[in-house]
Amino acid sequence: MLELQNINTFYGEFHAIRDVSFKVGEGELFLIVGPNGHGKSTLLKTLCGLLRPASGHVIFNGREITKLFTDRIVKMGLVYVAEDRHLFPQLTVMQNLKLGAYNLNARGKEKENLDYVFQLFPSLSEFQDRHASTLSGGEARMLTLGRGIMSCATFLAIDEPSFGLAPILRNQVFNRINDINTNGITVLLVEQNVTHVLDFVDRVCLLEDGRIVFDGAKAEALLNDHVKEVFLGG
Amino acid sequence: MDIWIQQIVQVIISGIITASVYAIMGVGLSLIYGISRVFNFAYGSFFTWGAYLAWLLFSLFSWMNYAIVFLVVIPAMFFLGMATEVIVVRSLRWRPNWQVTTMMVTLGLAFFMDNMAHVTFGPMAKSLPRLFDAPLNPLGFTLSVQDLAILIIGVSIMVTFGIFLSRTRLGLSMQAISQDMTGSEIVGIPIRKVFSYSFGISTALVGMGGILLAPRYFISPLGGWGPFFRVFVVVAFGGLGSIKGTLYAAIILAIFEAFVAWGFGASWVMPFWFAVFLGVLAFRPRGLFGTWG
Repeated sequence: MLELQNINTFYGEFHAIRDVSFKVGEGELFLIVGPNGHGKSTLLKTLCGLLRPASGHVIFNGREITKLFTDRIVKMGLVYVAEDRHLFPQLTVMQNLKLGAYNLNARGKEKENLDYVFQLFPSLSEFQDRHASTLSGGEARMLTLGRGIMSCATFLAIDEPSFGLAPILRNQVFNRINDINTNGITVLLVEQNVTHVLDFVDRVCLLEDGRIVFDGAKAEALLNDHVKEVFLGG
Repeated sequence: MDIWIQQIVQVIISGIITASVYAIMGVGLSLIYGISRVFNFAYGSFFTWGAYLAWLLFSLFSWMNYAIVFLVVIPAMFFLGMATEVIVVRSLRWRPNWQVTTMMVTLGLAFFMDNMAHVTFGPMAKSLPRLFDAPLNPLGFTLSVQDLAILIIGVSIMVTFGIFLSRTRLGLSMQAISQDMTGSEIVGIPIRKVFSYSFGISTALVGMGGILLAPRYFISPLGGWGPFFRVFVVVAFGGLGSIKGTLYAAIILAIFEAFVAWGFGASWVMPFWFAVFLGVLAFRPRGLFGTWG
């Protein structure tokens, strides 16, 4: 469904992503792990068009999307859910969700997707007239996920959804992500709290210094000493 | 005593009428900055050109009236603004120091447009016919139908614009961009297109201002700089990027301006604006309200 071929991305002078290639199959929950500052977020931003790779190709559903702007990529169904949320603070929850359905494909299914989002996150339906700035961390996180679904995503690239959340909320968010995935949306997940998501994950890839040092099925990853060390802290 | 009160009310009325024009022009200036993060130095020149285009229509066709002028000039200004964004600003965006560069380039564009106006229309000041001639005298105050029309047009544009921002998808996406540019890209808003639209709308608004104020003042090649400066102060006072702030600032400052002109004479009007500007910079550079929306 998504394929990266020899992607290199620079942050100014800094060579953040080095020759990264991998494939994510349809329906998979693909986990990217790795220490902080080793390029995980940069990688997600590159594939959704927020950053331009210096070289390499991003192929989504058989089409090259490397040079497309983000709005075109979103329209094709690949949606990025940022770690730092990027909600619209002075707009209501409902307006934030509606903006998620900005692209033409999503407009036709706005009602349907909205029902699904409210079914996944009932509290959003309760708070729909509140400004996004008044939401708690967990609610804001749910809104970012809901907004992604509103875009008619077939592929969600989710960056550190547990960041800054209390453990109980964290598990709720992970469960919802699993629900979303089970309902047919492919998920590329970047996450630090590996132990809590391992149950859901199909494949794991370890990113260090902008390079992929491991890429394989979950069972394989659990047998790999280096991955285990990074995963479970030794 | 009676005559004093009457005069003061008269001054306030005249201030409010000017405020309605400053408000729509201020919103336009604020709009481009809030959305596309560009400070448009050619804003005053678009004001001038809006008025000149209206004058051109009136002088070419004897049967011309304001309804047709608005129908022709406002869309023309909209496309002129979009073209400016696409041709002048787009290629500079997001390069190093692009905000300074675009300021310089729009300043150059202003000189170009002013000189084009000079070459095309000559140095002689032009004037537009009044929208309406009859004076009204409600309760003993003088209020020309012209002024009333300006007020009504100004208020309806502000109301329409408010509805556009909060009710339409494009309006919401403009608010979204001003609040979080990256977030807007993530949800799939084609931000480059919206930048162009914001330039178009902003230019249409300032062109509107040019046409509305032209019957009161005169049109000349450099005539847009005065209103531009005032509107800039209005926007700075209200908080660059804040619509609510722009609205309040327009009302407060236009009424003050009317009092200054009435009490000290017209020659004190520009020093008044400079003083306000210095005051804003010294005491509250952010303006009354910080953010846009």
